[in-house]
Amino acid sequence: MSTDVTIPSGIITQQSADRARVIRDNVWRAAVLVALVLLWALLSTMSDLVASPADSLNALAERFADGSIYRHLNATLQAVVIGFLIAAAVGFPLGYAIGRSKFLGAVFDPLVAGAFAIPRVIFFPILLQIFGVGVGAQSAMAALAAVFPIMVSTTAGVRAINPLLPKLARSLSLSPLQTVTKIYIPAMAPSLMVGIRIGFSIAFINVIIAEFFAARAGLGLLALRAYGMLDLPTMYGIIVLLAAIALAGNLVLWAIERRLGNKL
Amino acid sequence: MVSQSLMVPPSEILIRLAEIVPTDRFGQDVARTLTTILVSFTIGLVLGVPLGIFLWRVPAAGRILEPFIVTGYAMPTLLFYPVLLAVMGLNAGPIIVIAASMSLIPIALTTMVALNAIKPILHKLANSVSASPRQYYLKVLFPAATPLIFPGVKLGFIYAVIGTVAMEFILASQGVGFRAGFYYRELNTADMWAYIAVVIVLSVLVNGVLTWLEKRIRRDML
Amino acid sequence: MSQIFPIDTVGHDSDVVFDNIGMTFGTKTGVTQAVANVSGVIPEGKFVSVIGPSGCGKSTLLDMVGGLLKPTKGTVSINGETVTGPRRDTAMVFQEDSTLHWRTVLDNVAFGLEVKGVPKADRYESARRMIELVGLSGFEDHRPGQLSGGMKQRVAIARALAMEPRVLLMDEPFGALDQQTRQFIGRELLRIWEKTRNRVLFITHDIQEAVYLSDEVWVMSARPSVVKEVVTIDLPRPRPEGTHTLPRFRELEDHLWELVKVEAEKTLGPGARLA
Repeated sequence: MSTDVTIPSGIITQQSADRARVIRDNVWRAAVLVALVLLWALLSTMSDLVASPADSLNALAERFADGSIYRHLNATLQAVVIGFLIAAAVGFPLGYAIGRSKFLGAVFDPLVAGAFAIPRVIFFPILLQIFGVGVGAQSAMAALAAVFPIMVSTTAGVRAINPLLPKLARSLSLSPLQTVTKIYIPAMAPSLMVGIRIGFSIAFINVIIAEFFAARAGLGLLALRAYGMLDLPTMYGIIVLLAAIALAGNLVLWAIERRLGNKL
Repeated sequence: MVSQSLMVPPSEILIRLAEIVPTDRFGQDVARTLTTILVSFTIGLVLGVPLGIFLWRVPAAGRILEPFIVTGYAMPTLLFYPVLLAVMGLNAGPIIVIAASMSLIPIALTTMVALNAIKPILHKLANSVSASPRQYYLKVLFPAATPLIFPGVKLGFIYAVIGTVAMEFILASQGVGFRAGFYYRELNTADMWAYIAVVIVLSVLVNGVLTWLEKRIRRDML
Repeated sequence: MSQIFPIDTVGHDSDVVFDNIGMTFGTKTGVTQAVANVSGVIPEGKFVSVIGPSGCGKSTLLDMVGGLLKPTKGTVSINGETVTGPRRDTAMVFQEDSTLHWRTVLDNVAFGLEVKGVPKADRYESARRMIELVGLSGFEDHRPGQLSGGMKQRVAIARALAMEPRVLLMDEPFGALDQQTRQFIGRELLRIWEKTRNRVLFITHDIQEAVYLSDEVWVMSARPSVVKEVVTIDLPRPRPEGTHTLPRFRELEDHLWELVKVEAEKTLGPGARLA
C-alpha cells in the first residue's frame, strides 16, 4: 500500500512521449538540413563564385546521365573499400594483440599515439612512387590512414573488457576460439563499431585528399579538375555527392553503433 | 619494384636538411605553417568551448545537432576545400577555415561531455554558498572541467596540425606541407624526403609537448 | 518525554521557524506531494535531528532552510526574515563528497568565505582555525584525492563552520561512510559542536546517531509527510563515550525505532520488515 499521491499515468504515455520526442528531433534535424540548403541558395545569389543548388544538382545529374561519372565513382569507392579492408585486416588483430599483451602495449602505445599526430597524407608521395598514380596508391593511402584509429579503438575495447569475463570463460572451459567468438567479440562490439566508423571515415577522407593531389580517376580528382576549369556547378555538385556519401555511410554506422551500445 | 629514385639514403636527406634549414624560404615556410596552425587552433578553441557550453546548457540542441557533429567529426569540412578555394582564393584563408573547423569539433564535444560529467553536488554546493553565476563558472565549473576538456583540446590542436599540413600539401603557395608535395612534382626526391622529415618532427614535437601538458594538468587538477 | 504537534510556532526572533510548510513537486508522470504540513522551531544553540522513512522529504526540508528549494506552501524564516534563496548565514554539508578536488584542503575550507568576498588573509586565518578544530592540522596543503572519505567530510564540515553560520544544515553527512568511521566522526562532531554551539539541523537514517547527537529528534511520517512526533533527548551533556550504554539511551532509541517502523511499513507495504 503506497502512500504516494502520485497521479498515476501508464507506461504507454511515457513511451509515446519518448516517440513524440524522437519524431520532433528528426523534424528539427530535417529543418537544419533545409536551412543549410537555403543558406547555400542565398549565398549563390550574392556571389558568382557560389553556384546555386539547382545548377549544381543539374550538373551532377548530367554527369550521371551521360555516364561519365561512373568511372570516377568506382575508383573512389574501390579505393575506400580496399583500403578499409586492408586497414581492418591489419588493425583489428594488431590492436587486439596490443590490448592483450602488456609488453606489446608498452612498446606500441607511444608509437601509435605519435603516429596518430602525424598528418598521414604527407606519405602519399612515397606511396605514389611505390604504386604509381592510380587506385593502388589511393587504397594504400586509405589503409595507412585508417589502420591507426582501428588499432586504437580495438586496443581500448580489449582493455575495457570486464576482467571477470575471461574468468567466466575459463570456468566454463571454453576453447580459445570460443572465448574470442563468444566472449571477447560480443563484449567488444561497441568499440569495434567505433573503430569501423572512424576507420571508414578516415579511409574516405584520405582517398579524397589523395585524389585531390594526384589520381587517374576519382571524385576528388573530378572536383578539383572542375575547379581548375572554373566549372563551378559540377564542382559543387560533386562535393554535395561526396558529403551525401559520407553522411549516409556515417549515419548508418552510427545507428548500428548506438543500437549495439544500447543492447549491451 | 621500388624505383631507384624513391630510396634516398638517409645521409643524403640529412645533408639536404642541413642545407635547407638555414635558408630564408625554409624560415618563411615554417612560419607560415605554424601561424596557420596557431590561428586555426585559436579559432577552434574560441568557438569550440562556447559551442560545447551551449550544447550542454541546451540539451535539445545537443540531441538535434549530434548526428551532424558526429559526421563532421569523422568527415571534416576538408571536402569543401575546392569550394573555399573558389570563394577565397589561393591563400591561407581556406586552410584556416578547414583546419579551424576540424579543430573545433573535438573541443566542443569534449567540453559538452566534460560539463555533463560534473557532479550535481558541486552545483548544489555553489548554490548553498550563494555563489554568483560568474563565481560558479570561474571557481567551480571550469576548474572541475579543465582536466576533462584537455584531451579534446589536445585532439583539437592535432587536428589543426593535420588539417593545415594536409591542405597545404594538396594545393597552396607556401608552407612545409606544400613544399613536400611540390618537390614530389618536381621529382626532387631528396628534398621531398627532407620536408616529410620536417613534418614528422614537427608533429612528434607537438604531440610530445601536449602529452607533457596533459600529464601536468592531470596531476595538478585531478 | 515527547510532545505532540502542532506546537507553538511563535519562537524567538533569532530562531529558525517552519510555518505550515508544504512541498509539491510536478513530475513527468503527475504531481507528488512530498511534504504535507510541517511546523516547528529550531531554537538557539540546539541540535535538532530529523529521521523518517526513505523518501519522506527530510532532505527537502533541509533544502528549504538552505534556500535551495522554495516551499509551495507556508514559509521558513530565520531571524525573523523569510528565506527566499540561499543565505549567507546558513551553511550546508552534504552526504556526497563535495570537496573541490583541484583545491588544497586550506582553499577548500576557505571556499565559502572566498565566495563571500572575505580578504585572503582573513579567510585563511579562519580556515586554519577550522582545520585545527576538525582535527586536520598538517593536511592544509593536501588535496582531497589524498584524503580518506571521513577526512573529506571533515573538510566539508570545516568549510561550513568557517562561514560562522547561524544554522548548520547537515544532510546525512556521514551516510556514505563505513560504520567505524561514522561513529568516530560523530563523536568528533559533537566535540566540535560543544565549542561552537551553532544551531544544527541534521538529517539522518541512523537512530542511534540521532539520539547520541541531538537535543531534539523530529520523527517524520511517510509521504506526504508531517512531523509525527518531536522527541526531546534529555541525556546530559557533554556525552562521553559510554553514553550509548545508558538505559535512558536505550529507551529513547527503542521509542524512536517504534515510531519509524510504523512509518517505514507504510512506505514498504503491509508485512514489510526492516532488517
